[in-house]
Formats: sequence, structure tokens, C-alpha cells
Amino acid sequence: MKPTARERILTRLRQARAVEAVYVNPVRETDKEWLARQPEIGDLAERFTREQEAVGGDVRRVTSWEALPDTVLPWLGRQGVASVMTGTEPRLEPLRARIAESGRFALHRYERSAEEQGDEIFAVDCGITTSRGAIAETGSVIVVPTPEEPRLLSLAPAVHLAIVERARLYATLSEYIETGAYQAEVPSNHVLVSGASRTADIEMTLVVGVHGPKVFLVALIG
Amino acid sequence: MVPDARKFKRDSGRALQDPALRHNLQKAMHTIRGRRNERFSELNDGAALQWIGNAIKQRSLARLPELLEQLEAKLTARGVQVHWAETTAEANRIVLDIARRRGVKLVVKGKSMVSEEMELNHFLAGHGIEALEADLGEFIVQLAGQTPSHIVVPAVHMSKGEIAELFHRELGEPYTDDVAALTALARRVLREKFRAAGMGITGVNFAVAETGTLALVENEGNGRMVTTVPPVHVALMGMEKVVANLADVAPLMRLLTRSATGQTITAYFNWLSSPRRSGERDGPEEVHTIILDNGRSAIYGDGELRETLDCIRCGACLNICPVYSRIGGQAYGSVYMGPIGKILTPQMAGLGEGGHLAGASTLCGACYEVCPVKIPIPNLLLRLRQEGSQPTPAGRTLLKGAGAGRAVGEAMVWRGWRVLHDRPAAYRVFTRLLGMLGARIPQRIGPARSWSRARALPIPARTTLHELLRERAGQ
Ligand code: SF4
Repeated sequence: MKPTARERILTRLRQARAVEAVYVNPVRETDKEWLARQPEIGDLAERFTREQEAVGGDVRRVTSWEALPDTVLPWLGRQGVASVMTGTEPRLEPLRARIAESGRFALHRYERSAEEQGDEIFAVDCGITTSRGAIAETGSVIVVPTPEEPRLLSLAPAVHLAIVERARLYATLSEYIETGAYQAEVPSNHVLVSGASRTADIEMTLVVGVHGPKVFLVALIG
Repeated sequence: MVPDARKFKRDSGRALQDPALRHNLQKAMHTIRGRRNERFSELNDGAALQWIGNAIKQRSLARLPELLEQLEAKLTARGVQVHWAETTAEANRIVLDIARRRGVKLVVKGKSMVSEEMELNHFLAGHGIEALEADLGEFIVQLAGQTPSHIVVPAVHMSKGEIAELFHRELGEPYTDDVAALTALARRVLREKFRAAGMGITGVNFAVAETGTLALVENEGNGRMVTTVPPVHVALMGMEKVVANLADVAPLMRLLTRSATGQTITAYFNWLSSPRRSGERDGPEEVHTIILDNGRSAIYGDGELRETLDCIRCGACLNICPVYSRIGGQAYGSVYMGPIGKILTPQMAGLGEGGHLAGASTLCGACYEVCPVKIPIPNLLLRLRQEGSQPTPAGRTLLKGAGAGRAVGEAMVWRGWRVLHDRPAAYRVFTRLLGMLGARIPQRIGPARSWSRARALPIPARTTLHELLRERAGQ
């Protein structure tokens, strides 16, 4: 049988590797050592907030999950949001109840497939999701889509509100990776979200809100 | 895109005479360089980080075949279909087969330089499939019927006025040169397309062997759309993109975004590992990865040129390059432009067709300084130049097209140079002769012509340095 492209490529690579490198990098410093030499990250919540604000994000501190609705409702009102969508995440049920009670927003739920609910998802103003935490150094929220909170919930609506628990703040991406949480689970999709979608493709001029959300809000609990 | 020496000469000359282009480029390059420098100056010893990046790439490349196999196994286990392509023609064929099987008419694309290597849009169009670019810069360039002029900022050569004209003409919308309004327009047009498309195609920034993860770096959200909404996602990756561990990604990412756009991180760092799983409500039903060789394994087989494969496509070398920042990307007439293009193109296309690009450098070394993974671009350029004009020395791998750039005239000049410098008597006679001729050396004919076309020819002094020194000693 003729070897496949795969076999030919791998054979070539194995042979090619035998050729010795002309230059061998003598650097022995590890990334961890290098990171230890960097300026202090400081208080994680403060740093996270500062980094988010630097990219136009809006971070509100909330004392507890119970206090969440009192912050979120007026906040969404000020954003001019008329409709809100969540998934089936149980921790958001009290917030949903309060939103329904208020009668101020049309309330949607992402509970069937994107094929069935596509029009609804793309028409909604605001998606609310939880998160796996955040990275302080770069102000990045760790969003992991699940059946309870699918991918489009944090992508299609013009406003994305993410909820981050303060106890789950990591100093750097390296520190987060070191926890092994991702490696143990390898979810089908895992996104670090750092601010609203944006571009500088025309004359290097920053425009916020291209294909993803135009507004990114973070409620930091604890 | 087949590079062509004569065309390069003509187009770079034209670019230099184009004041609008010079203005657009100068402004953009100044901004982007400033942002990059700002980000690096915040670090304690950014230079050390660059060497760490280099070490990671070296370590990954040293295990390239194993890592690719590991990546394949991990992805396959999770239901991602992995394909291998030796050539761009093979890769195109694989995409077409998938598209045909799924009855795809419209494809939406995230940014991918590998797809430019494949000239995929053109290929698909030939088979009745429309491929639409979703990254704003790529969208603009595609509307204009051009190819990207920069690997990170594809439409950097155009002003907002030109883009406004283009949108007005091609999209039939009322004229506006407000950048926010132009962006909003693209958002509106493309939103419908994401939902109508049967396939999404992206590149890959990092592939992690340990976990079987494809990582995409972007700001606009088009990458997330393209990998979420259409029922099929095809990820195109150059085989050098694989790293061993997730931990390797953190420093490379830190280097990439700082070097590319001067950001500490992009808006989205998107990790993908499988098609939609049971119970999940969105995401593609099918995910494919195409691992492309297209000359990379040959580059890998040279212990020196191998370092070309360290590149993480940040574009920093373009931004700093005195040649790129004056002629722009399109003059190169190749997929990759600027310093990385000057080392990559001659190796991919062969020295016969691409060798001239290695000559388009002042060897100032600025690219080496900013390169986040410390590719010794000037050394590689010298090597390519040498092999472009000389038969390859014994014991070295023969590069495609080696010796193709050998010019008889040039070779004679250097032979003459050697004779003169080997024989003191001949040297003295020659310099004396030049001194006597002085300003009477003809400027418009012979070897002086191409030099004197754009600059004044230096006039040899009447007395040589040797004579002056002798005189001095005599006094
Ligand atoms: S050669 Fe270096 S500087 Fe140029 S694009 Fe590649 S990684 Fe960036």
C-alpha cells in the first residue's frame, strides 16, 4: 500500500530531526523564575478591576450571591437593556426570579439547541453567565460554556454580564494553568474574555463592539 | 502567489512613489511600534522572556513528530477529525471534500495565514463555494479584491477614506468615513453570514499536544462566531504550531499579544477541543483539523534554517522593518511579507522564485531584536543570499533553487575584487587609476549605473589613504 500523507510527513520529520541544530539556546531560566522577577500583581481584586477598566470593562463589587440582584437590576437598566437571557445554571435562579418580578425586562432562557433558539439568542440584548474565575494580571474572565450556559450566551447578545467569585481569582494565566483544572476536564470550549469585542483594523483606531458583545460587565462577588 | 523578482522591483519602486501609501504606513507603524514598546517596557527584563519563548519553541520542535502524533491522538479521541496535507493542493482538496459532503455553499473564515498559503478562497470559488472573510481587516481586503498587506493588520495600507469609498461602492451603503460606523456596517453584514454559513474555517495560534487543544487568539469575536455557529469547523494549522504542554502557552501568549498589537492579552483567547458534546446546545457538530506541511518539513531538515519554524506570526518584525514600513506588504508579491516573508518565502517557493526577497534587507537587525522568539533573521538572510548565488557547499542540504540567483556579471565583479585584493601591485595600479579618473568615472553606464540612479556616486580621492600615510610618515 502506498504510504499516506501522514506517514510520509512523519517519516520526513523523523529523518529531518537527525540533523543537528546549529544553535542551541543556552537559556535555563524557567518561566516561573522569570515571573517571580516581575512587578507585584498586588491585591487580586484591585488589579483585576484596574485591568478591566483599562480595556473599557465595568466591574462592580457585590458582597454575596444574595446581594447580586440589587446590583444587577439597576445596572442593566442603565445600559438600556430591554431583554435578558440566562441558561439553566441553578445559581442564577434567584436573580432570574427578581428580574421576572421587576417586570422591567423580557426574560429569556437558553434551554434548547441553538438551531431551535437561534433567532431568540441573536435578538436578545444581554446574556448573563457565571464563570470559573478570572486572571488578575490581564483582567481576563474564565468563561467555560456548558450545557447549562452554552457558548452563544456570552457571544451573541450585545451585552455580556459575567459573574466572578473573588475566591477564584488567579494572579496570572500561568498560575491558573498550574492548578490543572483545565487539563483535568478539557471542556469542549474554554475562553478567556478580556473586555468587549473590539478591533483596530481601520487606521489603528480602536472601535469597541465588532462581532461579539459591545459591552462587558463583571459582577465580582465577595 | 508566485513571487517574481522583476515584479518586486517594479512594485516596491511604485510603492515608494506613492505618498498616500507612505503616509498610511508610517502612521500605523509608528502607533503599533509604540504600543509594543510600551508593553515590553512594563516588564522586568522582557529580553529574558524572549529567550524563554525561543527555548520553548526549540523544545517543541525537537519533539515535533511525537507532539503531532500526540495531538492527533488526543483530538481524535474527542471526535475531532485530523487530516494531514503535504501540499496546499492536498489541503484544499480536503476542505472541498468536507464541504461537498456537507453540501456547503457559504464558508465564513477567521484570520488564517495558512489559508492564504493555500489561496483557499480562490480555490473554493472555482468550485462554486463562496468563502467570506469575517475578520474586519480581511473583510476589507477581500472586498477590495486584494491580499493582506500585513499578517496581523491586513488592511494597514488603506486609509479610512479609501475604506469608506470601498464600502460605499461594494456594499451599496450611504458613504461614511466614521470608523465606528464602518465597523458597525461590517458587523451587520457579517452577523447574517455567520448564521447562513455551512462551514467555519480558522487558523490555529497554538496547538497543545498534552490536552489536544486548539487555541485561537483574537479581538473581534469573529473567531468565536466562526467556531460556534456553523455546523462544521475546519481548523488549518501549520505543523510548527504544536507545543507540548498547556504551560508552554502562557509565556508564548504573553509574548504574542505584546508583540503583535501591544496588548497584555486579546479580548478572546479561545481554546477548543471537540465538536458539540451530547447535551451541549451549541457549537459545531463536526470539527476537523488539517495539519499542513507545504515545505515545512524540508525547512525542519536544516539545522540552521529550522529556526524559521519558531515564528508565532506576531508581525513585530514587519512593523520595525525599514523596508516593510516604506514599501508595505503588497509589493513583496508573496503571502508572507517583511522580514519573516524574506526568510520564509525563499524556502517555501525555492530560491529560484523567492531568492530575491532575501536581498531586500539592509541587515540592520531590528527584526532580530524585536522578534519575541529570537529568530536570527539577519543570519538566515545571509545564508539564503549566499546559497541563492553560489553552488551549495558539499555536506549541506541542497535548498530548492540553490544557485538560481547567480548572476554572471556579479560573479565577475567579485572575482575581479578578489584578484585586486590578492595582489598589492594590481591593487595600487587600480586605485591610482580610479583616483586619476575621479569625477570622470561614467555614471550612466556600466556597473555604476544602478547605484547612481537614485544617489550620487562617490568620487574616488586623488590620493589614496596609503599615499597620505606614507607622506605623513615622511614628513
Ligand atoms: S519572525 Fe519573529 S517577529 Fe517576525 S512574525 Fe515571526 S515571531 Fe514575529
